[in-house]
Amino acid sequence: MSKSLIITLMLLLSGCSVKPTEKVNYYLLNSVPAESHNIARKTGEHVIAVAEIRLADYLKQTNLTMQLQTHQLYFSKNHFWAESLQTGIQKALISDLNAGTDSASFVDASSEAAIRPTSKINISVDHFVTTHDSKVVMSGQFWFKQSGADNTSQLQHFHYTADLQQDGFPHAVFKLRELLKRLSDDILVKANQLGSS
Amino acid sequence: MSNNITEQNVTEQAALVEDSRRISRIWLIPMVALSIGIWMIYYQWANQGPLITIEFNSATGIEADKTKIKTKDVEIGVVKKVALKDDLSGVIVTARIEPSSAKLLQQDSNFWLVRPRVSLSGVSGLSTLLSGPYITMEPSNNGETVTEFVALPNPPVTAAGTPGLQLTLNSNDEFAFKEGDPIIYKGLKVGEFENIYFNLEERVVYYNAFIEAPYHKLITENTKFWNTSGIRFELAANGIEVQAGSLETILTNGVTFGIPDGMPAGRKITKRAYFDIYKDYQTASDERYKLGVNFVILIEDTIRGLTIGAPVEYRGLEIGKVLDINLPATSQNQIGSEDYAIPVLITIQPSRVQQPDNRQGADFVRQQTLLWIQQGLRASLKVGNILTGGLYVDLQHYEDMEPESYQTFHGYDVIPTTSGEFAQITHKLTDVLDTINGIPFDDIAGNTNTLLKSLDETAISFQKTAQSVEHLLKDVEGAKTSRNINQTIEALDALLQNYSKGSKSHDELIDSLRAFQATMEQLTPLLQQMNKQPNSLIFADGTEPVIEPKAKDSNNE
Repeated sequence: MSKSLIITLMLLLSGCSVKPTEKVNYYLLNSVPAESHNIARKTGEHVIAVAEIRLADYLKQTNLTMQLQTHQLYFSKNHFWAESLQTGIQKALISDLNAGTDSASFVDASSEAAIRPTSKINISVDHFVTTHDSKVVMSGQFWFKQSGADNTSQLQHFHYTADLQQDGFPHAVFKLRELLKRLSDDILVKANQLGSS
Repeated sequence: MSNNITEQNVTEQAALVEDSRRISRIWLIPMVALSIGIWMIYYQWANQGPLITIEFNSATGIEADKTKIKTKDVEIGVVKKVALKDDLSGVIVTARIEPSSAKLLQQDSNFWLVRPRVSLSGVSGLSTLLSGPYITMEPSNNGETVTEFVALPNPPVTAAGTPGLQLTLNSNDEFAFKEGDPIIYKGLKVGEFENIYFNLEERVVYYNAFIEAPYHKLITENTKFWNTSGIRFELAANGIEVQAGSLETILTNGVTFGIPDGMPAGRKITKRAYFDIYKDYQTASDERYKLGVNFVILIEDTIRGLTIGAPVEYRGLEIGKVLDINLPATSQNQIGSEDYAIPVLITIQPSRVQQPDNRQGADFVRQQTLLWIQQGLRASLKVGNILTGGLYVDLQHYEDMEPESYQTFHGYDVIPTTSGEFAQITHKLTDVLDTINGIPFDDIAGNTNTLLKSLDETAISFQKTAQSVEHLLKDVEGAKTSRNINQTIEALDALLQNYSKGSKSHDELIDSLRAFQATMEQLTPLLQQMNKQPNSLIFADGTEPVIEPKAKDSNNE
């Protein structure tokens, strides 16, 4: 009698069992550097402030985003940004920009290091997603503003894509990080043009 | 052939011929019918009522064989013929009266035409709008039986036989009454004017009036009648007085009656009596004073505002009235002469000065007045009403009056006059102006200037003092207030520094908000899922596919 009761209870309990869910993953754009850059400020250097990144509204959340169709998005429930995308892009860009030149130092516009910057760069990101056709896309605009001048430089549009070679979000994040590098290269080119002119 | 006929005749029996003069019985029927007809005509002729003639001014609405004659709404006859009089002064209406009503045709019977009438005093005869006009007879038991009548132009106001009292009122004043105007007693309508008669010789209007029972008992020999037509405004020294009778008399005319205060009622009136209609109660009341002693006053001032009937007062007590103004001039007193005095005839009524209303009383008043004249009694005109400028004659004793010689004017004793009120005022005004002239205005002005200068100096020094006090107060207030403000600002500064950018509190606040925002963002999908499927928190169905990016190559496969 007691055995049959125990068996029945076990059967009932087994009904409550669920299959194991996938684990939650967090991603960081600005990865931990392998070696420390010497970004000590030299006298007479240009200081260029990087303003807070203006993100499209759908990017202002921690879920990783994927474009399923032309107008349909998917927010992953297992893959999240470890910090806000706004901060992540800004830090990654500053890191890439500083690594790419010695003639100027790029700093966060809101930090105390941004004292009397010669110019300020504003970046607006419209898309920063993985697409259903195995691509990563980044597009938006950036422009410079000279300190003490009312006018701004011409608006520069950027649109980068890259194909995914592997499945999964980790590879997609890696590819997105590469797109940021291409953006920082374009910004440096433009900054040099403005500095020489 | 002819022989055959003869033979036949010979053989036939001879005819029996009889005299046919006998009247046939069939003729009896028309005879009976004829006799019945004759009897009926005779009966009709013998039993028909008398024919009467009524004279009307016009035959408005009267039609032969249609217009009825009624008494108390009972039909007693019908109009048979309407014809013009020979002299065209009226219409003769011939009517057949029923035999049973023939006895009502007395000499005093009245006839009149009933038709719709609308007047201020009422509406009558509305029923004839549908039935057409008819002639009403008011039967009478007096007089001989006659068949010729003259109709009344209008219905009599009072039906014959109504209990009450017939009166004749007369008035030679400007107001007039008409038939149907009410007689009011204490607001009640107690009678009416019945008809009007104007006596050309006397130039007086007489009104026949009727007082209904039981109010006719109120009429006594001392009863006075006076006019209450419309609304009467009286501007007296004690204000405005508004008098009105009933609503009816406001719209129309009317009289009221009563016994003046203080008068005995007297004997009751039982037969037709004559009464005067007075202008108002006051006039009616004054009529009780029959006797009066006449005097003349000679006025040297203006008499504008003095009217006949104006009161004569002795120290405020009304003792008589003005009878006449500007009597005919005498040889000594001509209007062209320089010192012309206007003669005014006044009367002093003994009844008003507690004397009997008889010869003795009048003699006493005259003697007393003449005595008082010797002791300084003088007459003057005074203004009784400032608004209307009405004057009255005032009799006053004045001391230190020069004795006046006794004089008469047209046989009337003369009461000497003193200057009128206006002249007195003028004299007093002159005195006042003289006094004002005597005031030393120059000295007063000099003193005032000196006073004003010293006041000015005082004011300047006071202003200086006030300014220094004001500065002092400002210093004290300023120092204290600025210290308080400084302390407050410092405290506020310290508080703001704690929350300013870069401070520890600020950073912690920002971090906390960011962490909260991140948490909320992560919770959003969960909340959406729970909203969609609440039990998914416990029971995951695993139906949702896990979507992840695919590599380019695998995607193409």
